[in-house]
Amino acid sequence: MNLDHSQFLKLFLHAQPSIRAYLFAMLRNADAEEDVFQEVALVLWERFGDYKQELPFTHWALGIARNHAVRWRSNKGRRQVWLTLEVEAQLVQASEDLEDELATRRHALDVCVQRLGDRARELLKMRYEQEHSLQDMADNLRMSHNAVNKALVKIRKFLLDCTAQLERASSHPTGGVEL
Amino acid sequence: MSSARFDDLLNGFLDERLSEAELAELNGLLAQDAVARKAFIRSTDLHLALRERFGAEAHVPQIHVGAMPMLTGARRSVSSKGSRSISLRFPRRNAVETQKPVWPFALAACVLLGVALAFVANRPSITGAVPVAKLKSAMPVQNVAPDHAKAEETRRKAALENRRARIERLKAEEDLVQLEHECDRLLGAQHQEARREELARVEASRVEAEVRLRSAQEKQIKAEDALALAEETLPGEPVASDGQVAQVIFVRQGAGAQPMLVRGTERLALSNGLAVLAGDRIETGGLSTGAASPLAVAAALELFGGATVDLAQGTTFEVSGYGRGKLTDGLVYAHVDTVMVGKANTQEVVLQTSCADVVARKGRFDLMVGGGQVLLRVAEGKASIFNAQGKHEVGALQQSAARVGAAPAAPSALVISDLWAGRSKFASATAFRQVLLAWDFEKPEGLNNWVSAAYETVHTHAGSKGALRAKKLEDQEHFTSGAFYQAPRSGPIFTLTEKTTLRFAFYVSQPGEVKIHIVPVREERKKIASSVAWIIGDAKSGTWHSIAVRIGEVFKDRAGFGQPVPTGLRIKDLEFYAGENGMDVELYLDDLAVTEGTP
Repeated sequence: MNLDHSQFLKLFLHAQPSIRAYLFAMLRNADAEEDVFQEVALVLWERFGDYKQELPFTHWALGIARNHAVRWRSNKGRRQVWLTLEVEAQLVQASEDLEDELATRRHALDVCVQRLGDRARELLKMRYEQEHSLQDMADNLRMSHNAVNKALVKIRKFLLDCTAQLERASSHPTGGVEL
Repeated sequence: MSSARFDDLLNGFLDERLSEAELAELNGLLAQDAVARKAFIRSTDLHLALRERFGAEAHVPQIHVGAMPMLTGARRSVSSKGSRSISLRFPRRNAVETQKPVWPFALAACVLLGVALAFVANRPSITGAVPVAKLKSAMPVQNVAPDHAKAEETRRKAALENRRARIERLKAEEDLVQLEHECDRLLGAQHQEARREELARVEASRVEAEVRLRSAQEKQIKAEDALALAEETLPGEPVASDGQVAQVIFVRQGAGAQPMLVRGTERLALSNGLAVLAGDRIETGGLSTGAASPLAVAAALELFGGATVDLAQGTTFEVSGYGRGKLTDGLVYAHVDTVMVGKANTQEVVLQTSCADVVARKGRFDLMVGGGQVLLRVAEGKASIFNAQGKHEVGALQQSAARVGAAPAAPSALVISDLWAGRSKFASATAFRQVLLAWDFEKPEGLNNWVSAAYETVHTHAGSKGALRAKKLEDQEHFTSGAFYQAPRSGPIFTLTEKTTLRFAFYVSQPGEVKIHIVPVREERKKIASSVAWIIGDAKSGTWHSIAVRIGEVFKDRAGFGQPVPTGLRIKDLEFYAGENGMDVELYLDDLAVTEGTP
């Protein structure tokens, strides 16, 4: 079935978190993930006419994403070590399964970040906005590397729990939590 | 592995600081645990979402919406509804693209551009940036009083020079722009070429897939047409209003127990022409005695739907419906030839057993049930044998056996113990297209062609009047066989083809191995590594066995353990061996023939 391209954006936005998470798992590098994702997005757009509605869009998109990631890796050389093909194939299924959940979690992330304390938000800014390495952060904050790592782990865990809570509330509107 | 360790590995993965060993550890955990995989994807998504949220302005260039006109409106529409952002842009040129053949031209163009820039920058006369004072200082100094006319001339020349320089600079700038355009064009062409190649490849794959799809669709349409035609042509499930689905066409008279038809509590003596209803059971009574004689045909039925079924003595067979039967015990021989539409037999005849079911459209086979297993031996055509555990298609001169709860055995060359052909004379050489060699040992003089053999008139096979009895050759120390036969030294020579078939019946007095050698003519022996043989392991003793095999399929070099015998080989001799470990056995042969073609 040839879908109207106007439907592309809706499907694409919904599948985007799953695609990106999968690409990061395959490429082990955020910049590489971003590059390949851009390629994938363009290809998905160009080939949207070939997409068969009988299949889940995410399934189709993950297939294309995987091909591009494999090509990127083959250009990269053999020095890097990757997850095994078996695990990568299993992650496709996990990404598909979580498509709806991830989309909702992303929507909830803003709320959860606001619930963080100033110190935690400062750490996130250093890590994600200024792209400091953990060691740089430790040096700047006069903390140990281990302490920074633990702090980030705790923050991520809080955000995961928080977005999960809001995601569940979203799935069951009677819970009364407003995203 | 603890949850804390998994969290540690997971965060290490996100922060891109895992060692190879740690990655392997994480990999192992992900491979085993679906929950861990989901946690992994969730954490990865969170990591990327945080990157986008905190670093969107700095790191994620926005989409060139102009490249995707449809997205422009859509994006605007989505943006107006919520805070979601879309980050799309043109892909960066990757390493693959830079290796395309256009690259040298682009590089050359860029080098030219660089040279042009350097030239422009270092050539004062065309920069237009040289001050007039400097020009003046460069002019020759004259020790004369200032002359207005000369000064004016000098100024004019300088202005002219300046204008020329400006023109040249503009021209250089124009060249520069053109070179830049050329650069972009070449790089763009390079990118387009890569995309064209990829598109061509995808298009070729698509076309190929379409062709395959079309072919499959055509086949399906043809099959559906044939089926529809068959359904129109056939009378359907012609269970007569009186429920008749078969008819008795033969009943053995005289010796043996009277075959009976059991219908509910009623027992009817079987007679020619008797109508058989669905659910009727035929019981042919006790087995005949005498191991040396084949089983007698007790009765035969015509199953409506295209089959005749001969029932041996000691057989219980239920006619369960149109073209359907159920063999509970005993032995039947079925000749299936269902209605044809065009060139195809369209209906199936199904014979059920407790171990497996047999389905055929056209062919001749016998089916034996007993001892918790079923044995299917196909003489002609083909039949499928299947149960819940598996399925095999059994072709001509092949057999397969099945037990309850186990898949049918893969088809093997036909090794028939008492090949039973019911009322037909399948074993007759006349059923074969071309007889290359044939000995029935009916006459003692037939022995003249054989080395070391005796004529036997008592121990015969299938009603024949004579058989061949082997004699052990005492001087054959390299043989462990207890008996040795050899085909006529001066007999006919035949050439092996894919359809060359060997048939014979044998009897051994002790269980063991029977080996048959075929001996090529001397000049062709170099074609094979060693003698060509077929070994029948575990031959049962005390009973006759009928054998029908394709020589090219079962005979192999290196005494039966090597490569299949090649076709085109001219065969001179046949040799038979039996016995094991030097132990004497008696070996009898009967009804031996080499034929060309299928039965």
